[in-house]
Amino acid sequence: METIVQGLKQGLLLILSADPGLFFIVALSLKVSLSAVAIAAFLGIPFGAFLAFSRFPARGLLVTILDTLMGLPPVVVGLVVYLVLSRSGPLGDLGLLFTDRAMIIAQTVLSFPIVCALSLAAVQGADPRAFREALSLGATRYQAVWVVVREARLGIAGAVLAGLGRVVAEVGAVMMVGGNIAGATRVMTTAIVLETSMGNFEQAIGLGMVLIFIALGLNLALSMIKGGRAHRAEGGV
Amino acid sequence: MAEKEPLFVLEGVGYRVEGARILEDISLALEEGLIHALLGFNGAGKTTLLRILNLLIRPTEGRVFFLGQDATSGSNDLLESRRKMVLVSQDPLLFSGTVFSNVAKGLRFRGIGRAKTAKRVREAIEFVSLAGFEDRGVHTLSGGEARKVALARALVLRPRALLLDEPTISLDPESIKELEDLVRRINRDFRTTVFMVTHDLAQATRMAASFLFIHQGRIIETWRAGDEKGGLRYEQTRRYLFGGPENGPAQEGKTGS
Ligand SMILES: Nc1ncnc2c1ncn2[C@@H]1O[C@H](COP(=O)(O)OP(=O)(O)OP(=O)(O)O)[C@@H](O)[C@H]1O
Ligand SMILES: [Mg+2]
Repeated sequence: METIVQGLKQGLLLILSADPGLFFIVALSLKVSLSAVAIAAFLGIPFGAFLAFSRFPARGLLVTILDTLMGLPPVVVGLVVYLVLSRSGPLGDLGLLFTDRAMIIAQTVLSFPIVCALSLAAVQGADPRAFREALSLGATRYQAVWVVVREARLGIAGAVLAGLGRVVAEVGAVMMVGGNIAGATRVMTTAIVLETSMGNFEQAIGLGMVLIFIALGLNLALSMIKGGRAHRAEGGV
Repeated sequence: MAEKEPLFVLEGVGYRVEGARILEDISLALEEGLIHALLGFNGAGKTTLLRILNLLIRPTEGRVFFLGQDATSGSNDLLESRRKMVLVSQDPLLFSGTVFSNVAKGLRFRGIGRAKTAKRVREAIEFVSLAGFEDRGVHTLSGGEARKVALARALVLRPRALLLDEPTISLDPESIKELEDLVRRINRDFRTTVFMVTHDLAQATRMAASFLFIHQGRIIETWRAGDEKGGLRYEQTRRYLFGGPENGPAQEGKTGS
């Protein structure tokens, strides 16, 4: 009990004093996860929209694979990215293993299926009239697709936030491909694991609190999006 | 009728989805510059026919010509043809955003410049007596206001053919009259061909010069204004127009053939 109370106090103090060590770790975490999700969104949203509009034989299989990848354990992704980036792997020459780029790659792989599958669902869930109305108003096929994507933007924003939620709290993959090197690849989750194992609870608890705040912020943003959607449904034409 | 080239020509058009026959063997020529009224019981295939005319769906049988061009042979560029007409659907969806952005949509699709767009959008909004509504979010509109926005969004495009699917449902009597006047004026001043579905016979009679009656996916009767008295061959048409003991819901309309 003593340790917990003491840890909470010290952790809070670390946050409030903007401890440089802690600050660096939080900043690196955010940089890695936000970069990864940005790449995943850049690739995943268009691909999800493409899947929503296209009909080809392998489509069903692709969607099933995406759904499966959504639940992939981070350590498995870590393992695969490790093997690809390791010196003897296909991309070994790039020397990316144990760098922040390796962590970005791993988290991109982790968040892509979520962003893509949820974007697909959002676009598919958009009002089917939107596409027809756009075409009737003289849209090209491409413009009409864009109209539908725009109508689904709240769902797509939710998809991106869900992707971020998945990677920011993830520890297995970044640990494996980043190596948890202090001042280089140590992020919040890996730092918590390490500090806890060494008995440095203040640092661990401080980081844990920051993570909880981030999770809280993400969920608040998500529920605001859902609130906005409910509001629109109420007043919809 | 034969002197002018018709705007639309349909030859043996049929449409089926999953084995269900929605339209069957429809052949017709729609003269340009007229207001045509399409009448028929619920589920007769009116909306489906409008979508075929709008080149949104391809018939599963037969051919559709628009301005003499075959719109059913695969290689045709339908965009150019589609941009000469516009459909105001029975249950229009406004895009999230403002009244202005909705009315501007079709012009944006066509890459028309900002200044010109703004001017025409304002005109169109005034046309449907919604001046001052430009910046209103569409989710704050009443049902009738939303329908007027859907109309303005179509009129702003100055189409050669205006396809209207029950355009005056949920409008008040005054707005109905305004809309009718507006459509007639557009038809007269710009020779815009209007093809409208309506269940309001008085409205059809007030507006249209040409009438088509569709029953169970077939156009069974066409006539010109004034010809209907005594000239109709089919019992279903008479029942739709003049009522009768069997006049009623769609199922009854469907059984009599
Ligand atoms: N995608 C579809 N699959 C199955 N049936 C369909 C489909 N689309 C339309 N139908 C059927 O085709 C028939 C014609 O539909 P349509 O919407 O054209 O009727 P309508 O004449 O416009 O009727 P209303 O007056 O009620 O608007 C209806 O019986 C409808 O249920
Ligand atoms: Mg209909």
